[in-house]
Amino acid sequence: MTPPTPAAPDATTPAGPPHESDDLQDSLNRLGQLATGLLSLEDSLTRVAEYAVRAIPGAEGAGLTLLEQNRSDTIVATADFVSEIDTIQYGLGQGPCISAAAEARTVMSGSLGGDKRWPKFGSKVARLGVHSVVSLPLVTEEGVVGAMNVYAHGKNAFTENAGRIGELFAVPAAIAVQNAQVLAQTKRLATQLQAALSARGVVDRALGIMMSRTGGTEAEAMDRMRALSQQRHQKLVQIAGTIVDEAVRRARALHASSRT
Amino acid sequence: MDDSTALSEAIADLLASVDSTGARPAIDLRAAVATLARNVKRAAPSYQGLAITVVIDAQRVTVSAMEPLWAQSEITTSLHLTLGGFPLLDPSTEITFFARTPGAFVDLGADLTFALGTAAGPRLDQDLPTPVWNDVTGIAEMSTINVAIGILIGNDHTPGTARRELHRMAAAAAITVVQAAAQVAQNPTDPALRYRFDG
Repeated sequence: MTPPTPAAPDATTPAGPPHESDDLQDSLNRLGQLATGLLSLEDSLTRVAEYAVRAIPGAEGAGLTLLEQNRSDTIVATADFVSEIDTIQYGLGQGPCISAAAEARTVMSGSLGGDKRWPKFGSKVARLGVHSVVSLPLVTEEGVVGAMNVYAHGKNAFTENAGRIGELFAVPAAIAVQNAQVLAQTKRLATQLQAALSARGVVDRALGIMMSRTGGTEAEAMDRMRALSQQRHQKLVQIAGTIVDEAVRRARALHASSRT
Repeated sequence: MDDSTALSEAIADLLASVDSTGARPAIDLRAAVATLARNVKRAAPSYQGLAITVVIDAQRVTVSAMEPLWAQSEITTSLHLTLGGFPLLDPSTEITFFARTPGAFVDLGADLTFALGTAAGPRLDQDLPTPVWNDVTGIAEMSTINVAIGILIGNDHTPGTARRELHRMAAAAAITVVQAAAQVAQNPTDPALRYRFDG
């Protein structure tokens, strides 16, 4: 019996033990099915970071930072020690995540305490007992949208293969992050617009109530309401809310008493 | 007046009516529009603008925001999302994005089908051509109706009977509810507006 011919190596399959490929594939599958529309932006990004920890061999925790107009914006972490480290990084303005985002390339270190690239950051983090990092920029066609940090306590915890796996994960992760941002911001815009219109509705009803009492125009009623707002140091919508609540309460009481 | 100025003024007008203290409003619609536009552009670089519709008390209000130097003739593709699945938003809330390059939203649309967690996926290229301006439409009608409801509440109507009365007036005169509301506002102390408790 002729032994089977081994399959030719697949350029897209990362080298390494089979379980590493399984972890990556599992994480990629979960990423593709992440219903970010049903989660808050922070929860969505935290899930992405959790999948990264599963995918990257040696990882013990991960953090994800979104960049908004070149400033670090939303920041999430899968573990408290990651939050602590990223707080140090952004407080100092130096560190592997900042470098990865600025240079749009993967940055790794196996001994943060002695790494001359970030002398202040490295020494502080080493004292916390964390020595290894893989930092990956999250890049779309339009540029860097954020960065992901993956940490481990031990020295030299990440191999080059771990870095390559991280880069494979970072590509769909960037898309997932981008989509989560679009949905979160769409939700925010819709919610804010709804809130503004609801408040406007209250103001308009209050104007009508005032007009019914004075016979004046809408403009005259608005002038009176603004004057009240300034006298009482209250927002216009609060004054309007009080006027509407009192009038509705009165009307409902009249309706109730007419039925008895 | 250029289009971006028209939108800014329309939004400023909406916000000014709800906050007269001069303090920075907690609601910053212009920033929200700008941030969303920036991120959609990352996914679709030929992005040209958006139109978002919110429903309040059965009244539809649409905010349209287009990129500077946009041109109606150059819009070739659209992506429409229904946002009713989000908590606290009316089921009819919707948004449409527009772009110049055909197919610009294919990937984003496919990704958002999963992200929204719904089998009813986003709608591609079915919202063209739509006259889209930098503007807030529907708000004048919404205001007219709410002022009239306020007048009726001031005349002993509850919000529910006020709304029903407006619809009754509109049907009786064969006019729209907005037109009936405008008529109410012309004479807010008319005794005929007072609620009749004798049925």
